Amino acid sequence: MNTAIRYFPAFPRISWKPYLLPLALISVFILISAAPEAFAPYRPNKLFDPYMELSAEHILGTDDMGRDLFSLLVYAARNSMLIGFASGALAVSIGVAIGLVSGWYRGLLDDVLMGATDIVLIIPKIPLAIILAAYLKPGPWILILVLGLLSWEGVARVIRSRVLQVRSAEFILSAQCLGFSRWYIMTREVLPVIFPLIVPKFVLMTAGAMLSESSLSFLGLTDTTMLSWGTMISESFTYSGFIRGMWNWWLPPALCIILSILAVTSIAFIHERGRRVVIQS
Amino acid sequence: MRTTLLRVDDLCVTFPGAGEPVPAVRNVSFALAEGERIALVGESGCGKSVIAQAVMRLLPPETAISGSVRLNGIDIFAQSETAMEKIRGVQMGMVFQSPERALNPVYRIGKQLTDPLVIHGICDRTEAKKRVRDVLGSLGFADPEWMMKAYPWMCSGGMCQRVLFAAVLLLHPQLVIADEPTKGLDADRLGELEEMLCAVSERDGAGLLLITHDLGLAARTADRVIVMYSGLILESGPSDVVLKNPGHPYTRGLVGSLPENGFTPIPGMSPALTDLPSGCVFHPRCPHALERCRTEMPDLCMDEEHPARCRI
Repeated sequence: MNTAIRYFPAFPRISWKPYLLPLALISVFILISAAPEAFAPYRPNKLFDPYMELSAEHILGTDDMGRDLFSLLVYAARNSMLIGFASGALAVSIGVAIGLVSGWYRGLLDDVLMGATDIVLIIPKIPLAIILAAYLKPGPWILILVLGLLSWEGVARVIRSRVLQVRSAEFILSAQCLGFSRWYIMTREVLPVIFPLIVPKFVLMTAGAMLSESSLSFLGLTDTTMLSWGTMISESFTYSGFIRGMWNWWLPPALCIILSILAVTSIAFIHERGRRVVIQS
Repeated sequence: MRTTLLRVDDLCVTFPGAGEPVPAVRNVSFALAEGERIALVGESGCGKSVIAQAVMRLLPPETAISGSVRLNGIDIFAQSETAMEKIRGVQMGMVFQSPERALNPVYRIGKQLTDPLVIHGICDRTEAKKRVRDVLGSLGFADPEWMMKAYPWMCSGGMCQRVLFAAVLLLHPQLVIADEPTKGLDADRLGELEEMLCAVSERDGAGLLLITHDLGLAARTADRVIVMYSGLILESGPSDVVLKNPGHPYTRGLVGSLPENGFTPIPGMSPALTDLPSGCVFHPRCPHALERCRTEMPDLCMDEEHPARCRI
C-alpha cells in the first residue's frame, strides 16, 4: 500500500483562440443592443429628406420616410438579439427540464411528458406563430413566448435519450450509493455530463429563433413598429427599396442577420469539436 | 457473539422479462455481523450483484421484490426514497466494479470526495478537504494534492479503485458492499485491494459483503463464504471449511476448476433463469446426480455452521 505512484498525464488546456472571433462579433452585437444611443448618430425616429444617397452625415443614407438607415440598423439590433437569445434560452430551459425529469424518473411521468412533447412536435410552428401574431397584441415578448414555447420539443427528446443513457452509467449508481439526493444527482451529476449537448442546442435554437423572427418580420406578421433587422428588410421591400436598387437599405440588415447567426453557430461548432462525447456507456 | 448488522430474510427478486418473469434471486437468507466479512461467490448471472442492489435498494421500480432486508433493525424496503438517501453512503457504502467508470468524468477527484462529506453534513468544505487529503495519503498516494486536482480519466484503474475506497472510507459506513472489486485490476494490485478490504472491517469495525467470482480472494479475505447458483444459495459456511471441504458438488466443481487444482471445468452451462431444471438446479451438470435429484429440490440443511443444498 505504500508504493509511490508516479503520474504522467498532464492537465488538458482548453484553447480559447478559435472562440475569439465569434465571441468578439457577438460581444459587439450585444454591446450595440445594450446601448444603441452610444453608436447611432441620430434617434431612430428623427426625419430627414427621404431616399438620400450615402454621405458623411448619413453613412447608409435614409429610407422612404427620411430616417437615418445606420441609426435604424443600430437600434434594430436590440430586438433581433433579444428575441433570438431569449427564446433560445426559454426553449432550451423547458426542453432540458422536461428531458431530465422524463429520463430520470421514467415510468408514467415519462409517458406523460413525452406525450406532451409529441403533441408540441406536430404543431406547425410558423403558421401558429402567424395566427397568434394576428390575434395577440404583437410585440417582442409575444414573439419570444411563441418561438420559445413551440421549439423545446427537439431539445427535450435529445436530452431525455441522453439522460436515459447516462443514468445507467456506473458513476450515477455510485453517486446514488454515496447517498446523494435525486435533485443533486440530476443537476450536478447528470447535467454536467450532458452539458456539451446543451450548448450547441441552445445556440442552434437561438440562431433558429433569429431566423424565424426575420422571416416573420419580413412577411409583415410582427409588430411593424417593432424595429428589427427583419422589419428593415421588409420595409425596404414594400417601400420600393428594392426597385430603386437601394442596397444600402436591405443589405446591411441582411449582413447583420447572417453575421450574428454565423457567430452564434460557430461557437457551437467550435465547442463541439473541442470535446465530443465525455463518456461512452 | 457480535451484533447482527445486516439480516437478509427470504429475499426473492424477480425481473419482468420479455414474456415470462425472470427469477434472479430466490429465497436468499443470511446475516452479517459487525466486523464480519462475507463473500458471495458464483458464476456470472447467479444473482450476486442483484442481492447487492436489493440491499442498497437500487433495483428499478418494476422489479418484484419480496422478503426483507434489515440494516441495524431498519427495514430497508419500508423506507421512503428520501430516507434511503440518508441511509446510503452513511450507513452502507458500495464499491463498484470497473473503477474507471464509477467516477464522474467531468469532476475533479477532490470535489468528488469532498462532496459526500459536505452533503451529508459531516463537516464543512475546508475540513472535508483536509480529511480527503489525509485519506488519500494513507491510501498510498505520494501526492494527494495532485490527485485531488486530477480528473478520473487521467488515472489508472488502480488509482480510481483507491479513490472509490477513499469515498467509502471517508463516510465510515457500517456496511461496505464491494461488487467485483477485482475486475480489471492487475495481479500486483490484488494484494493491495485485499489489504484495503480487510482494513475496512478491522479499522472501522464495518461489515463487508464481498461479491466476487475469485475464489482465492474470497478465501483470503472473507470469514464466511456463500456459494450461489441460479439465484439460490447452494452452500454457506466458514470460508476455510467451504473451500477446503465443500459440501456441495457445485462448490467442489468450482474449487476443482481453479488452476492450482487441475483446471477441470464443470461440464455444461448454467441454466437460463427462465428455464430452470426441475428438482435440484444443479443436477444436469452434477457428476453425482441421482434419480431423486431430478424431482426434489433439497433444502439448505446439513448443520447450522455449514449448510448445503445437497442430499448426497
